[in-house]
Parts: sequence; C-alpha cells; structure tokens
Amino acid sequence: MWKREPLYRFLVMLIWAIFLFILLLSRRFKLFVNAIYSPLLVVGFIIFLSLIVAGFNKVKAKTADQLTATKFLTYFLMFFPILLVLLVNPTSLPTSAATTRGISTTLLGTDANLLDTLQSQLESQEAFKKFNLKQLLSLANNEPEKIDGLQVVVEGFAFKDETLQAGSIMLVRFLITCCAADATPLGIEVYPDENSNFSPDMWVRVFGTIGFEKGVPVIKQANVTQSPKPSNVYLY
Amino acid sequence: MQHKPENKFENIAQRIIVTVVVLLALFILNKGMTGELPQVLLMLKTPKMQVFTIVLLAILLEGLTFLLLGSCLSGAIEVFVPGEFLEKRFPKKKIPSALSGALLGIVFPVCSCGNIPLTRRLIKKGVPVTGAISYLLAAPIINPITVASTIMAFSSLKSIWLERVGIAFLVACISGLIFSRYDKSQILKDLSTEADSCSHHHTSQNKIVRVLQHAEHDFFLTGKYFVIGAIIASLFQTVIPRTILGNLGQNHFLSVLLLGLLGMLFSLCSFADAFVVSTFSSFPSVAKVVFMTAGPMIGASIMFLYFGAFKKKFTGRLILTVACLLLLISVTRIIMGG
Repeated sequence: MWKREPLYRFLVMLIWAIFLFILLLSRRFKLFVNAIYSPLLVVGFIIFLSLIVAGFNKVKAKTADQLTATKFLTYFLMFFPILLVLLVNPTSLPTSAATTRGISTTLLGTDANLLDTLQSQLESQEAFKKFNLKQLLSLANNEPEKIDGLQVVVEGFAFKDETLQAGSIMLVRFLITCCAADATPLGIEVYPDENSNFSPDMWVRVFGTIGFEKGVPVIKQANVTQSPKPSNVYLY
Repeated sequence: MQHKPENKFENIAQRIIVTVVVLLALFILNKGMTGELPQVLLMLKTPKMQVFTIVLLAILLEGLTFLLLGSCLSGAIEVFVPGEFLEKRFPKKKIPSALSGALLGIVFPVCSCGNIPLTRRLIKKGVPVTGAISYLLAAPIINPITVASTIMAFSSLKSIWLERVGIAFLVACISGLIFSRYDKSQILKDLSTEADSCSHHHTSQNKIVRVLQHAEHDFFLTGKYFVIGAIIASLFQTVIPRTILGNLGQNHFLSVLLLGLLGMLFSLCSFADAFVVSTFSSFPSVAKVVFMTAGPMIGASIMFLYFGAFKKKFTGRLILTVACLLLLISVTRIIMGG
C-alpha cells in the first residue's frame, strides 16, 4: 500500500496545505511575500484542500499506479522546500543581503498618499516628524525643498561597510513589491552624533535633520539608538 | 522502487536515492560520534542559507497559487468546454490568431506560472498553436496589473511601459507565427499518457471532482519543474551580487546582454520586476525593457515549467526564438538611436 503513487501525491498536497495553514495562522508568510498576498495564500490552501478531498478515493483504489524511484524523487523534490524551512528556520533577510543587492539611496516613482503623509506630519506637534525610509526617499525625489532641514525620526537597521565615509553609517530597510525575491535595500546615509549608542547590524531609531549632499538625502546631527526589531521587517 | 526499471532514468533515480541515503547515514553517524552534529546544524543557518531559503519560499509561495489556479482553470476548460468550442471560435488565419492570442492576456490576466497549464489545455482543446503561443508569451506582460506596476515604477519615464508592452506584443506574435506549422503532438508532453490516465482516474462523474482531478494532474505535471526552476533562480539570487553590474550600463549592447541574462536568472514575477530594474540607474531603458521581457517569458523558473508541460525539442526552440527576437529587436532599437 505504501508504494502507491496517489498516496504520495496525497501526502505532498497534505503537507503543503498544513504548511500554508501554519504560515497563515502564525502570520510568518510575511517573511516571504507581501502581506497583501494573504488572500492568495488562502486561495492556495483551499485549492489544496479541495484537491486532497477529490483525490482521496484514488488513494484507496486498488488499481492505483505504483511508485517508481523517479516519481519518488519528484515527490521528495516538492517536499524539499518545506524541509529546508524546517532545518534553516529563517527569521529575516540578513544584513549581508543589502551588500549583494546594492543599497539604493534614491527612489523613483511616487506613493499615492505621499503628499498627505507629508502634510499630516508637518501639521503634527511632534518635534521630530515620523517617516519610514520609503516615504523619506520618495519625498527627497519629489519634494526635496519641503524636507530639506526637516527634523525626522526613521527606523531601520544600521549598516556599515568600507564604501561609506568614516563616521557615517547607512540606515537600511528592505522594500518589497511582491515577495522577498524582489527585495531592494533602501538606504540613507546617517551621521551619528557622539551620544549615539549602537553597533552595526542592529535595529535602530534615528533622530536627525535632513540635508542633501550632491542631490542625495542624508541625515545629519543624528542621534542613533537601539530599537526593537519591527514585527514586519519589510516596507511595501 | 522494487519494480523492474523501465528506462535509464529509473535506474539513475534508484542509484541516486541509494547513494544519498547511504552517504547521509554515514555523515550523520560520523558527526554524531565526534559530537559535531550541532555545528553542522548551525552551518545551515548561515546568512547565505537564510537568503536562499527565504527567496526560494518567496518564489514558490508567490507562484504556487497561480499555478494551482491555472491548473484549475485548465481542468474547468477540459470538463466544461465542449470539444470543438474553442477550435471553432478562435481565429484560424495565422495573423488574426497571433493578434488575438497576444491580446487575450488583457481579459485573461494569468501570470507566467498559471498560464502554462492553461496554454497546454487550450492547445489540447484545439486552439491554433499560433494563438496559444502568442498568449503564453504575451499574457504575463500585456495585462492591466503588469502595466500599472510598470507605470508606477517608472513614473519619471512614462514611455517605458509602452515600450515593454510593444516589444512583448511583437515577440509574442512573431513567435506564434514561427511555430504555426507545429502540430499539438509535436508540442504537448505526455499527451497519450494523460489521455490514458484520465480514463483511469475518473473515479467520479461529478464535474467539479473531475475538474479537480484534471487540476491535480496538471499541477503535478508542472509543479516539480517549478520547484527546480525556483531552486535555480534562488541560487542565482543568492550567489550573484546585483552590485557586479556597477557601471557596465555605459555600453548599450553589453547592457542588453547583461540585463537580459540577469532577467532570466533572477526570474522575477512580472508584477514586480519593474521595481527592481528601476534601481539600475546606470543602464539604458532598452536594457531595462529586455530585463522586464526576458524574465516573464523565459526566466529560469518559467523555463523549467515549459519543460514540464511541453516537449523538450519544442521548448528548446521556443526559448531560443524568444531570446533571439529580443536581442534582434533591442539591437535594432540601439542602432536606430534608442
């Protein structure tokens, strides 16, 4: 009985269905794909369940095909990604990925709500206006005069390599559109003051003033402090 | 595994399984005896392994539902659409057939992963090969979602989406016309096996169950190739730094080749690739368009899906045709001053 091919198909679908269910329930799918894709994963889960139910009779049928070594490898291959996740247990894209992918300090394109965000932040009573890196780089591209000299607070991870000037770091966040395969590191150069307390690769909160160097935004006179890792490490 | 091997692949597969199991057992035994097993497990958690695993799962999770949806749509066409319905209605003349196929993506916006099982079924149901191939290549790009994402990513370069759609349309139509002489038996893989297995496997007369049984068949036919393609694309994304591109974009010919190759290796979803390539600021727009066309048409994961659904000879020729056409169109554009 254990050599029947339909049984292995059934098991592959069952394991994938359980895996999708766990990812959805624990919200861990956000590590791999954009949060807006959750309905798509729910659809995938439902289709797997339907296929399992529809294929159940074939598992019991006596005339079912026998499993060959080639087919066994095929089904193992389909199970392999889940096995890998169990062994590696990934938590987030490591900071080294920012180096291999190349940090982008400019951001073309506009966010539909960009000007509304800017306006609401300018009207707020806070001394440091809160933005995320995507908003900040979009504003630097579209409304540079409005943010030049503005005091801001931004979060990201501290990144340091040999290409940066001494005494500066890069504040980085991964921007994803669909999934982690298209993740692009966005960064802004930060000049920390002497009161800053952090080390590279740490999640930090930066309080500072926006300035421009050769048309590229930077954060000057910045106080950099450690901050907790956000529940969602990506920007969309 | 105890059956008499029917072909050389079966023999090789048996040897691979035995070798891997024996080596793995010896490795675990050795490391277990020397107390190094925890270090081995830690090696699996290196940054590169983390990137590889995250990218692999990202590609699979994103494409899986589309592949399942495409398989279900394919099953629904098999069960609900009568034998000659599509054959009668789809234009038979080559040029109208190619044009209709290429424009079908606007109303049938299934992404690359989903439209492969669908195209297979359309050909099986009698849709002319010209139209089906044009649809297969054009649909991931000529659809409202991809157009909107391209416009958003290149808001300062308004014409690039038109260029992308235009080149995709041209490549899809010409490829469709090139393969118009092919018969479905020269294109579709496992056509006879599928017919046999279908007659065996229909354990129910319920049409929904039959749709799902066809969907399961199509999913397993292409799914394994999708996993292989995703593994290869993730491997390239992990080991090839995007930063190697540097200032190579100064040479237009070289940049077309580079971004075309990178588009194929990275195999990004057509809904997202524009956002990635928009950050390659030193490259000319012609190379960026090639990146955004080669990926969805002949990207690594898509290529393996083609091998799952179509015959090897046809797939090889299709990939070569698309690559040559893309190169030809881009070079023409550069010479004309693009």
